[in-house]
Amino acid sequence: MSTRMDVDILLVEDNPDDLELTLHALRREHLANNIFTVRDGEEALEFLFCNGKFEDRDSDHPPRLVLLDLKLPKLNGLEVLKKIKQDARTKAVPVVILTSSKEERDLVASYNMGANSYIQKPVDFEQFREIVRNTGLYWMVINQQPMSSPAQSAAAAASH
Amino acid sequence: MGAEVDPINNSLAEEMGIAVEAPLRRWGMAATAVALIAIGSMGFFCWRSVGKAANDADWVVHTQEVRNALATALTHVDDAENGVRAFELRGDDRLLRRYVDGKGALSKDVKSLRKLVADNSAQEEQLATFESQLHAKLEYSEKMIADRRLRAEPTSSHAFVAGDRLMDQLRTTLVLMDTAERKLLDRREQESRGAQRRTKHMIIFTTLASAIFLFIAGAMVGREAGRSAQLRSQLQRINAELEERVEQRASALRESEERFRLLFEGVKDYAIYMLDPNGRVLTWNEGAERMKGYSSEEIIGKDFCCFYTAEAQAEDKPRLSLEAAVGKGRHEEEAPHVRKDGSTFWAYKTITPLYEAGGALRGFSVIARDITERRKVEGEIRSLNQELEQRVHERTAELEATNKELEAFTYSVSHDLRAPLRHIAGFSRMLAEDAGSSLNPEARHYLQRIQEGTHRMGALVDDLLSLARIGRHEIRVQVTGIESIVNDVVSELKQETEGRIVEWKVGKLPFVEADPALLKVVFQNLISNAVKYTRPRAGAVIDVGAESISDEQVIYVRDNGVGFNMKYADKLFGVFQRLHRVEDFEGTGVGLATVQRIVQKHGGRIWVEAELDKGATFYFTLGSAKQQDNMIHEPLMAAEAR
Repeated sequence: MSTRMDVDILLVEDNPDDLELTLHALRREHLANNIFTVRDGEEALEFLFCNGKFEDRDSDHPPRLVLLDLKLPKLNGLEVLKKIKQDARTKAVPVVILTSSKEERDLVASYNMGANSYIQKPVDFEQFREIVRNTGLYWMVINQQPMSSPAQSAAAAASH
Repeated sequence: MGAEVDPINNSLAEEMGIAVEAPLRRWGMAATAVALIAIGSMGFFCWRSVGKAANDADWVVHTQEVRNALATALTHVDDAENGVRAFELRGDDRLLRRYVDGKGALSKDVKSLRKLVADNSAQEEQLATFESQLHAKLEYSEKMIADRRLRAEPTSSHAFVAGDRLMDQLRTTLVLMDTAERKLLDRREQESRGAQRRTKHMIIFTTLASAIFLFIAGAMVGREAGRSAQLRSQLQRINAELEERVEQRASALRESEERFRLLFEGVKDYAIYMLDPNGRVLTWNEGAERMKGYSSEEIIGKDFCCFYTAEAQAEDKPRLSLEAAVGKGRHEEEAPHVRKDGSTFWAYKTITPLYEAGGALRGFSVIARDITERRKVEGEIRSLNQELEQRVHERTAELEATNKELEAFTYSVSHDLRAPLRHIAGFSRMLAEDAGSSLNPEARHYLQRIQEGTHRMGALVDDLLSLARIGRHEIRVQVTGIESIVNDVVSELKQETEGRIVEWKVGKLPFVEADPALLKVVFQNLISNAVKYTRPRAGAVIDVGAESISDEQVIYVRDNGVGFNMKYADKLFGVFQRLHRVEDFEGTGVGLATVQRIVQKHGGRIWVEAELDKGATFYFTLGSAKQQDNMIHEPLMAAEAR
């Protein structure tokens, strides 16, 4: 998978089972064409900020959606969320928390840090597929996003 | 002791008694005085009456004398006249003798009469008239005598006519005088009788009056005497009592002194001693000797400074302690003390200043106790307490850690336990979809069972997590309208009842003070249960309402479902307790346990009435009925404003 390509969805998921099920659901809805997966928080940040092993990535093209698990190795989902929403380059990227936790404190913390949506993965696979379908439809089709990244806009505004 | 009469008060009462009797005595004296005055005035009056009576008698005698004198004078007039007449008839000089005698007697009579009537001017006038008439008569008689001597024959009778006229005048005058005297006598006798009568009355009256007043005075004096005798005897009795009491007190005092001395000397655990105002030891008991090591011979007269440590003495502690005792009326201190042998011990000491009756400082009493042992024990207790506190801290920390662990466990259950379930559900589904057609019906059935199993387990985990959350959840009470919550829940459940005939009866429901989120969980469980267990009914009736049962606001959820036997009612609210088979009615057996926990967290209670195949009614209360009643109307506005 080339990292130079434009990525529509960044999926951050450490569990291979969940990864497979989620990809299956996305694929079924034809949303998995430009999807990129990372397996921990650190990797997610390297991808988003184009450093580490993703040095050569073009930071002008952030993903259009981040699906973020909360329970992750190294850096957990909340820490990743915080970094994304604190950085001008990435804060406009929609982040949907996709987790098995139904804990109130996770919910509250996520929204406080600027999560755009919070979804608890249901046990029922049919329901899960429905949710994935709706989420993809909403964020990739219905929701309007600026054509260029905020970083580009900022640079353009400065040069004029 | 209570029956004893206070001697001072008693004597006061007596004085009061005497004061009360004083008017009586005054009245007695007044009565006596009146009687004495009456007797005195009666004496005076009698004396005067007697004087007057004597006077009256004198006057009677005097009048009688006058009258006698007048009669004598009349006789002498007649004698003289008869003498003259006899001489006239006979011419014999011897016959003249009677005349001469009469004449001489008359001049004496006139003299005595003048004397007698000197006090009576009217009679004096009459007497003067009589004298002049007598004088005229005598002249006439002398003339007649002289004429007769010249003649031999008696004169004609007419010569007597003039003489008779003069005679008549004389007699008349005398008779007038006599009459006047008799009238005077009559009057005097009358006056004398009146005076005697008045005197008699007066005597009777004053005698009676004085007798009465004397009687009154006597009676009063008698009473007074009785009273004073009584008072005297009372006084004597009180005096006797007083003396007895003084004696008793004196002996009690002696006894108490004796006891105190024994106590004072015998006390061994306390040092009790007295100091003079300058701090020199005056008395010394056995306890003091034991505690400080000095015998009373050694220490009496010495300054009590020696009991203090050198440092304390340098700071002038002994002096300051005494001053503090004088200043505050009592001084207590806990300080190290020095024995005779120089060793030290901890003492607790109370210094109390003693004063003379006049207010001058007499000295101090000091009571000291060796508290070395107590301080040791106190120290032990302190260290034990500290240890205990330390242990409590540790335990608290442990508990907090356990709580944290539990929370972490719950979190991990919530996250980690559900994940594999999801995977099983997901992959079995995918398997069924991708390979379903190539599997035989038996294998497809197994896949079906796997999926159902994961479903149930998912629900179970969710319910358990919810129960645990409620356990940890702090309820946030606010005024909550039950009706809107029930309506929300009912509309959420409407999808489940699609295609069924369900009659909803939601009555008038009150506002209560409760945690709305938790209250919603209660209704979600109870109403979904009602929906579930009425499934076999062609026409389900679900009734949610409120009623007042013995002053308590009770909320109920009633259904006409399959119900249950009441003998299992007590099991109903236990975790994992189910009364129906999963095949008939799905469920985890956690819902009612959750409901009960919420109700109990609100200070309420929950119970159920049911009949097999008839239906069930769940009742619950939230806190005290009074609180709820007050909440019903007043918060409406607030609820609407939200």
